[in-house]
Amino acid sequence: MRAPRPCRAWRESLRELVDGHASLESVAAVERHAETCANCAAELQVARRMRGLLDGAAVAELTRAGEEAFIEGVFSRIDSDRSPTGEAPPLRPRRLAPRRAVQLGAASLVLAAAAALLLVVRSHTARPHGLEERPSVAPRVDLAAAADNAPAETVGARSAADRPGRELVLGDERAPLDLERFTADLLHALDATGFDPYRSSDLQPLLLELDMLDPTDLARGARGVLGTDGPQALRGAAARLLGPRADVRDRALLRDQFSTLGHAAARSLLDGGERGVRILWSLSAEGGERGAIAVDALANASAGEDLDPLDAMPAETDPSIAARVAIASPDRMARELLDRFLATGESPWLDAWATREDAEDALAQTLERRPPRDVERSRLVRATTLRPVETALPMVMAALVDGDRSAPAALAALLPLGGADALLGATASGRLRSDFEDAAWRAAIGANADLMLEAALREGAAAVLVSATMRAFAAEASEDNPTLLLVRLAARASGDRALSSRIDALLHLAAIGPQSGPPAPLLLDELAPLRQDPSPRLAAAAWMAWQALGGELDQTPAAIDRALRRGGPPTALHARLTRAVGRRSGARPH
Amino acid sequence: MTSRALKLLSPMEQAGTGGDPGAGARAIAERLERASRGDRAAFSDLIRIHRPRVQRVALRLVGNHEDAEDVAQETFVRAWHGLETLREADRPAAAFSSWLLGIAVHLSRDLQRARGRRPEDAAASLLDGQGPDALAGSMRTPSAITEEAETRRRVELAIAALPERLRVPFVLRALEGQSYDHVARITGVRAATVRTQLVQARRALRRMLGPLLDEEDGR
Repeated sequence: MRAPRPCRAWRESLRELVDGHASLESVAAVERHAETCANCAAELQVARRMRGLLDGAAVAELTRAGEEAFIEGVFSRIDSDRSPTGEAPPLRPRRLAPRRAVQLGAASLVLAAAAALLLVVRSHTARPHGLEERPSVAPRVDLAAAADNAPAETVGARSAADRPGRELVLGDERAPLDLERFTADLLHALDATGFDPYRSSDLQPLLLELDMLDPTDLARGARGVLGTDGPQALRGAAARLLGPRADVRDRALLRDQFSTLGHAAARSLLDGGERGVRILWSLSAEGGERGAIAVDALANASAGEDLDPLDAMPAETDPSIAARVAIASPDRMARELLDRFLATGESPWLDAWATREDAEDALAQTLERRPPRDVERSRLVRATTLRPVETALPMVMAALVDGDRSAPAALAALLPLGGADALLGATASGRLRSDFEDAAWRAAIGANADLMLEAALREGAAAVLVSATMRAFAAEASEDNPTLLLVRLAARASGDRALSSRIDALLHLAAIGPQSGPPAPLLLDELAPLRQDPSPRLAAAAWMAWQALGGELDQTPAAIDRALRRGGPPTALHARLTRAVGRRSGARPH
Repeated sequence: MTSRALKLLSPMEQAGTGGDPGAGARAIAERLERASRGDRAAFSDLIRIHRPRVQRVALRLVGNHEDAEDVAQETFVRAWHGLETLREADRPAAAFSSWLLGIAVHLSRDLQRARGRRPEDAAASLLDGQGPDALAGSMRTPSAITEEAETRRRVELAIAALPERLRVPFVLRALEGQSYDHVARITGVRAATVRTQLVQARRALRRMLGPLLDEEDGR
């Protein structure tokens, strides 16, 4: 059972007492305090007994006997070290000196043994939360190889060797360790295996801590493991253990080792709270793999429930990085994200805003609460293209009139919200610059041709639609919607005022010929009835369009001629149409 | 100034520096300067001053007198070759002391590792010649002497059983009276690390010495 801990204020004095460094004043002060504090009184007793035992074990002072022989021995060695040139050699290993390679090898062997031990630990315990086996995300260490290299006397090494191919898996390195389970299972396993940390290497500090110290001291063990060149998985686990307990130097260590520890270090820094998060933000600015891992960790934290990294984001953070993190945060308000976009113009903020359910409300509120400035208006127009709101229409139309490049796309997004009528009206009034008018129509027809057709027919503005469509088509030859739009306009527009528009549409169709897009049979089906239209000019134009779109000339040009003549004496149009049909068919008109 | 520090200066007092608190350091600095120019007599003085502590620390770490003396001698050999490096130190006397102990610690570690000595072997060797027979000359009863020897053996075993990373700072601090900063300088780690290592060492010892502490409690 663990002894009750003394008051924090007196711990150092008690430690000094054990170490033999306590002053009389310090001891007197502790004694006075101990009179009123049972815990400290008990600790004082223990400290005194400890000191007494240590004093009793002091090595006897050396006598002067043999001193001269000792000195003689020193100079004898010095002389034997001299080179023939009489110069003292540089410091080098003598018979006591280490062989560095052997040392390093021994260190790696012990670390391998540590890894092997943890495997044994796993084999003796139920699977803990923090050590769950996962298919691929966790770092793995080949313990078969580790065990092969482990010292024979190391507990667990032989056991591990008996299990070739087993791997050390320490859970998802992006997730915090479940400390209590981790500790409990490891200690249980230590008991089960009879492992004695006192006989283990000094490279087993983590195990020592787990065995005999309270959880707050685990940081020390974790630091010890991080300071070695041990297996990545073991060091990753140590990093995650260190996380919530990391101090400023630990954070610096984690930052230094970020390249090798990767996600484990990032997780540790996240667990360390706001200061760790700030380090991640600074790492994110470095770019490369380190930066990507940092951003990934920040985004994961945003998506989690523990903290919101944006709260600790430095002001100078690259907005594109910040926005990537913000996208992952479910709690970030759309309005805040939109404000950030309006302030910076960085697209990731816009993307983040658009993913929020309340994005449209935020846009409407922004439009409502203040008239946008020029730069803001342009950005709001962009926002409208992603999440349109009705209240944005006046602003978008004003931007269109002013020649804002984003306005056509924004207007296209607003078609169902009054944008179609607004565009028709603006075109009819001649308020728009021709290039922006064309761009707006291209965008509108591309977005919803049927809606534009309906609006044009409803407003009796078929001529506007035909004209605008053709201009848009001329500006963007690959547009395929205008073909269908013209066919439908010719088929559906009704009334005297619409006749010329219908004929114009058909003549435009005849002029542009077949295009990619809707299959010809569909277009021809729409056109076929028009060839029998009572209006001979419309019928003749329909014949032209029919032929231009690949329809069979199952009637002779004479039939076209008759159709035209039904309308009265030959006109210039009559002549033009019959000549055109005759050229294409190779037949002479009658 | 602690009693251990006074012990350090006593050889200098024998060399005629008297009770002047700064005289010891000045005398050591002066001998260092001479020794760095090849003056063997001055270096011999330095060996006389520092040998006890160096050898004591080595004894704690390697566990037997023979190896401890070997380590101590080698420590001074290394020091002789490296005296030049101390010339620019702000406080050469203090720096020399820490430096020597650092060399001794590293050599002891190397020796222990090279030989693969187990802690209890080290403790047993350390106790050679210091069992009940060695205490027999005192005026205490045979049972008290035996009990004291057994207690001492258990304490030594507990210290020797500490992992090296804890044992070294503990020996330097609790048995050799070094400050945290000196221990840090000697072992080459941060002072904060030393503090935490010492907390761990004390706790480990307390756990291992628990029965002894209970026995004391029962008295």
